[in-house]
Amino acid sequence: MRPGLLLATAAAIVVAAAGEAGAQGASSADARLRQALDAPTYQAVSLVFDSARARGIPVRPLVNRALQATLHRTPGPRVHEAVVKLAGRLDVAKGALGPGSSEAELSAGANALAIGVPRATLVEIRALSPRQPVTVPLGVLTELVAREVTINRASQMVVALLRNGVTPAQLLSLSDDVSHDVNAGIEPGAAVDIRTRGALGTLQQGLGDNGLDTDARLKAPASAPGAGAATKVPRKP
Amino acid sequence: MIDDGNTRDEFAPEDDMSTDEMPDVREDETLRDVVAALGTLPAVSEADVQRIVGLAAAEAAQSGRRGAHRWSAQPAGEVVPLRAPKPRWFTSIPLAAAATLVFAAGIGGFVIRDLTDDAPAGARVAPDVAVQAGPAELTPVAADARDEAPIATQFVLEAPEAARVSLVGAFNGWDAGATPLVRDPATGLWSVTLPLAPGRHVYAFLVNDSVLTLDPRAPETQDPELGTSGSVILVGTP
Amino acid sequence: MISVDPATLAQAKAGDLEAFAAIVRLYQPRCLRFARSMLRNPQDAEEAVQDAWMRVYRALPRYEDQERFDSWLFRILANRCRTRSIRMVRDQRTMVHDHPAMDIAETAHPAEQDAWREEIRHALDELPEAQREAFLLHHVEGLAYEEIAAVSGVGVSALKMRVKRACDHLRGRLQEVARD
Repeated sequence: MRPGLLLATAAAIVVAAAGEAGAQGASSADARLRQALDAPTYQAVSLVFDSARARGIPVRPLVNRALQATLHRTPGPRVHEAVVKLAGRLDVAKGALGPGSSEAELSAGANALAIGVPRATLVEIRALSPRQPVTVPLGVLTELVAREVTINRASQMVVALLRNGVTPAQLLSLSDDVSHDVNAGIEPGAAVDIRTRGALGTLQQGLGDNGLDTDARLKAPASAPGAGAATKVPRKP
Repeated sequence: MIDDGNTRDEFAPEDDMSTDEMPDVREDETLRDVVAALGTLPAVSEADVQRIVGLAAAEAAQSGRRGAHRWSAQPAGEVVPLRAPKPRWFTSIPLAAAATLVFAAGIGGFVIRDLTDDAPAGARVAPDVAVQAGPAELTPVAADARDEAPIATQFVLEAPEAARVSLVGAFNGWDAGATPLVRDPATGLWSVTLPLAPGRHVYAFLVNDSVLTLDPRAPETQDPELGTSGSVILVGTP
Repeated sequence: MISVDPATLAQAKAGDLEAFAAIVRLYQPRCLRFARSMLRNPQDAEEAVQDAWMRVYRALPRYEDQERFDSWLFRILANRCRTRSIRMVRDQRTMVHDHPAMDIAETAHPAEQDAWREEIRHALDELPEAQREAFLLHHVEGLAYEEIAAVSGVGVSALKMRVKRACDHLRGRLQEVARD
């Protein structure tokens, strides 16, 4: 990167980093919402925010959802509906991931729920990462499903890898590989199976004799039955 | 000194004058008509206002001026629905994964570590002295203590004919004025680098304050609830 | 007379571009009105105003609340108009002096179609710049002499003389037109 561009981007980082910081950001968001929404919609979404706040649900994702909708010029009733639905998903995510979960984790959980991932999978992912953030595993899971990997397959992959101590970086790398495979024409489910086996092989080497066998690791999570397909895919040469 | 303007008086010597000698334009029909005609306010378009504030925003982005993120530009014209970009906007530089390049340790670590010195609120921060920015600017976007450290993430768009490009996503409250991209005159590429929390982020580019544009190099995701779509990036340490 | 509320001003001082936009929206008509009266060419006027706003934005963190914002803004704008005017006169010396027809063509303002406004335009142009500025700031923009003193850097009594001379010239020049 040229020095000028680097400086410009460094300056942009400063500006961007100030983005949501502090109460000013919140009041600005509220002012923007008030300006962008018609009065009844603004009042309606404000009630949703108040209710969420009272339940201990983070409000910022809800405000952001409304702001996203206004940027897209979504009609008022639809904005309200989207905010209500997200609040419901955040409730479920909080119940599944635990009350100590971060805002980013709850948002990631809500996004996973939105795409069809069952609540039980969130519970399982949290159980496998009780002290580690689950934002990346949930994000990868959501993205795999968005890339048309079935929910069961994607859930199996993420859960099996978490059981074997996959790092967020490895998960992301795997997700990239799957996307690449899918773009190259490989059926999404097959791509997931191939990449999961490859990753598990690597993890196994790193772990040494940990007593785990591949079939056991690929066992379907309780929330995602039907893992048999994974064993039908031949190992990557 | 605020201005460099010329304040010298190059006209005729002027006598002192008391107030009672002053003409009263209200009593002079001609002068009253003159003042009335000159007092007509011209029409001003919102586009003019946006242009001026856009220039200020660009300057603020260049100088790292604090608080300058709080600008949500109003579309100057008709808002075009979110749509796939024209092919000419495809970036041609080699980038990892998507158009979005994630720097693991380099820029992110450097900037975040070095932004620790105190500076007075509202101080203008030149690009080369960005290390003087206030500590409040350290707060990572969409991240908290439980999550891994934010990672400097670069977004690039090739839009040679654009006057302004900004990045919008939940990480900046979908604020059109929060994250302007800077155009590199040499390549014509628009880019911005900002710290993002690890995880999956949906975003779009806003071109000329009015056209929401997907990242041609990033995966697209549908949003049935809003009837829209967005670009996706998975952020994390490679 | 419209004026900006202190809260918006404080936000703009802190770098809030939304607040700055609100201020631009509020004052832009007055700024354009003043610049168009000061400068012959409407494009020059727009550029002077834009230039002034950029300087206002840069200087906002140093703006002192003791001074009225209107006065501060017009000081910057008047300086920009003066600087631009000097440049214009210099540029036109070689271009226009031998071509009065061109001069007239450049003077015509597209928005001022009727003869009365055109006459005012000519009469204003005939005024020395300092008189034109003082007259416009006092009688059209409503600034007090003390505020204009800060704008122009000359004493109040001298300013009053400038305004009086401007009034005398405009009355003498336009009285007949007004009677037509």
